[in-house]
Amino acid sequence: MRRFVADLHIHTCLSPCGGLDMAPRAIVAAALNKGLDLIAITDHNTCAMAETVARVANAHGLAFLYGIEFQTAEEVHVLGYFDDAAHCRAAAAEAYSHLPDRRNDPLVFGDQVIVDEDETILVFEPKLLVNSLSLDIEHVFHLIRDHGGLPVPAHVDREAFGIIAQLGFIPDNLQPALVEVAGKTVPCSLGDVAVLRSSDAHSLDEIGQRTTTIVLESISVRELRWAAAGIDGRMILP
Amino acid sequence: MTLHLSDLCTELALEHWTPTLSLDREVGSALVGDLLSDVLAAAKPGDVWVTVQRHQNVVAVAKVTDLAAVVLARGVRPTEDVIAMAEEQGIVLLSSQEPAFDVCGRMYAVMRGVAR
Repeated sequence: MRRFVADLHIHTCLSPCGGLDMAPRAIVAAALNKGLDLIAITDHNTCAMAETVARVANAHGLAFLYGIEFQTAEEVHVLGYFDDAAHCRAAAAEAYSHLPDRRNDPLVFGDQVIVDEDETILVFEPKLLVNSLSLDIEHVFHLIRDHGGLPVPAHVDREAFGIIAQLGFIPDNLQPALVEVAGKTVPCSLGDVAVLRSSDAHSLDEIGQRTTTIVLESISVRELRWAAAGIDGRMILP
Repeated sequence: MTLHLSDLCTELALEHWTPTLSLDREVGSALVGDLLSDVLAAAKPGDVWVTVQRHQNVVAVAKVTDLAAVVLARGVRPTEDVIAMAEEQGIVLLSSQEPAFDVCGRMYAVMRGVAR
């Protein structure tokens, strides 16, 4: 069993709001510099940068978890965590087919670029990624779980794109095993659900600003679910 | 002159999705919004709520704030589970093809007796 200081919500240069300096080597260097053991890349409605960051992270002994930050029809942000690149890619492809055909305007939203390890630009993503999928939150939860993933409502206490602001409260039928909280306090209405704290970094200096210490045997969705439930020594430390 | 939900339905040519529920309730005020937390904070009992938010939490929010009805704008249609929940909770669900701006404009005219 190992203790991981984790930041499970990090954007790359592919997210339009993410800085162009959020490239694979720079992200990994910043994470190591902050003493992190585990990171997740969670771009908006895509994971096209994840494998490159994973490769760099693994080469430097930094553990990696695949993720996507989905935006539901209700404008709620939901993180999905996946076991590997294949599951994450399949979930992203399904989400992309439900993303409206609105072009990105880089002057307004920023560039959406896919880069390689050397920061060479490979692709300019044309569709605006920070947009709502035509899937309601229940369908996004299904989509994530259908690909073996773990759905985690993001920054539930935030005014913008948080589930409580958008929907008033967490619908009973969702039953998330984990929620991400941005503030220092936890909303009472959450009850005793397990909480993740992550940076939601869009720039290098934000990486590791909020972290969660998690005890896991290895990096997988099942391990994370077990940590949320406190099963067999896996746990999320307060 | 008092105005009832049934008058609003006729004047605005709204579609009624919960026909087991009565449209007898008197109405005199309304609000518009898609952020449910904001509606929870601002709604007054008896309000008519215009929204494009179709999540089932709409029904729960309408229930706890004791709204007269929910009007889904711009052609948004409620799903079967939302309709079932609304009928069970006694929440009148209406809809319009028109955008919220036009729905509100017409509703204001009807409620306040302003000439159109």
